[in-house]
Amino acid sequence: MAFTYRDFLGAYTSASERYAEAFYGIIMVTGCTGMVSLGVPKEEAGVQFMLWTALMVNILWGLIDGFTVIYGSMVDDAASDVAVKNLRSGEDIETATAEVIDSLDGSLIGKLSDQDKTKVVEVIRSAKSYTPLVNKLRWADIKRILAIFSIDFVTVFPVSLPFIFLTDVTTAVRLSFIIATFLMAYLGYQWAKYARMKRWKIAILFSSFTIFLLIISFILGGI
Amino acid sequence: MELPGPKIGPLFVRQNNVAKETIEFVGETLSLGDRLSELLYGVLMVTSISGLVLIGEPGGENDLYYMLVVLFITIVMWGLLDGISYALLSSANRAERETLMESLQAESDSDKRNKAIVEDLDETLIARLDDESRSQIAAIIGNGLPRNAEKMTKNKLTSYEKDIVLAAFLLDFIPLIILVFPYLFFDSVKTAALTSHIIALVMFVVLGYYYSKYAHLNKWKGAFVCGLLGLILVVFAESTNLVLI
Repeated sequence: MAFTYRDFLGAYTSASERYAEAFYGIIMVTGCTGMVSLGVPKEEAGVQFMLWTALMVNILWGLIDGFTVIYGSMVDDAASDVAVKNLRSGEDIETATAEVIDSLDGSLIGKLSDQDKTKVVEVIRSAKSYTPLVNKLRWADIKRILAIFSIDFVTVFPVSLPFIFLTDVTTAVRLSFIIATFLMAYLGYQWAKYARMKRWKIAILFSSFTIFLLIISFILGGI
Repeated sequence: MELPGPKIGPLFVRQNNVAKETIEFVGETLSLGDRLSELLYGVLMVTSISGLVLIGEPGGENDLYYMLVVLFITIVMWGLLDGISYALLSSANRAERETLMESLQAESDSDKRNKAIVEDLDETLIARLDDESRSQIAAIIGNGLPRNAEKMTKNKLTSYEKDIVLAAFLLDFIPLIILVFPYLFFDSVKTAALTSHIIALVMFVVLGYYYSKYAHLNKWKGAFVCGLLGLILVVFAESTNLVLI
């Protein structure tokens, strides 16, 4: 069976991560194009400039986002590694225990009773062996960066479309904002559905972000 | 000897306490990795936006006022958006865990149940323990997970997640306001932008240093890479006339 793009994303990102990345991507591009529109010429050259801006922001943001997600988790992994070492060496056990439990809180361990959590900590403390963390950028991390980058790029691409097909900056920016608003509403709806929250409330909240950005750009004389 | 006049000592103590409490609050709510990432995003955001706005060469004597308004809105908006999305992410992760719990409750095959538990632990520090300890922990989870727990029908932001919104906002707002200061103290937008971008470059270097330090990587290499990223942003912007510095 062929390994699809969907499989690739599923292997390297969680569903909630994908929603968050798409959210950041759309906000970044609409925010930046809104600000750029404050000063570009209103004819075709301006539209081309806007297209390049949107694409550059998109690419840069995707890459930076990917790298910071990886390095951010490296920092947290290193912190939990230090906590485990302290726990196993008997150095400041109370703090180390709290830090170890905290770092495991996002897993199923977070659903256990305090008594069971203490049992888990005890197993970690007395485990026969513990492989210390070696932090370096691995091939799997690079694939994860590419997955995050692609989410940003694919989701945000529709927002850039008006700059390809239209020649008037004002119309292109407005259409781009409308697309972004619908995308945000859809994203909010899907995200809320996944998180079992009120779908329409989140959809309206998300779309209001882009509408607010549009209003700011308008007030500042951008579009 | 006590000097006459209003007592300002307690005022400083109170301000110190507020600052300390704010730092503690942010530290308790967001992990170190998250704090560093949020700061990096924020510096990047303000630098990019200030550069992008400058393309427009806002004219007239209101230049500085204009930039101040734009950057202030950027920081407030970014802080809020960042906080809200972060809280939603946490809430979605909670729902994800509930889904896993429900599927475990429904699973009658103990091998499959155990496999799902081990998979969940694979991305945690438990994966670095020996096989026997991992099995012991999987057994503790298998026996300790609440059975017939009430199904989560509606998910709402918890008070912790509401704290996340505030913590992320404060973390973005307080350090990033430094990048806006030059626009308060200089008469020319160009000088203010140059100063703001130099401060941003220094922040990039410092963040890179601490990122690497806490990730147990080469600190100076990290500082150099992050500094280079900031420099590219500024130089690229200048060469394409995106930033007027």
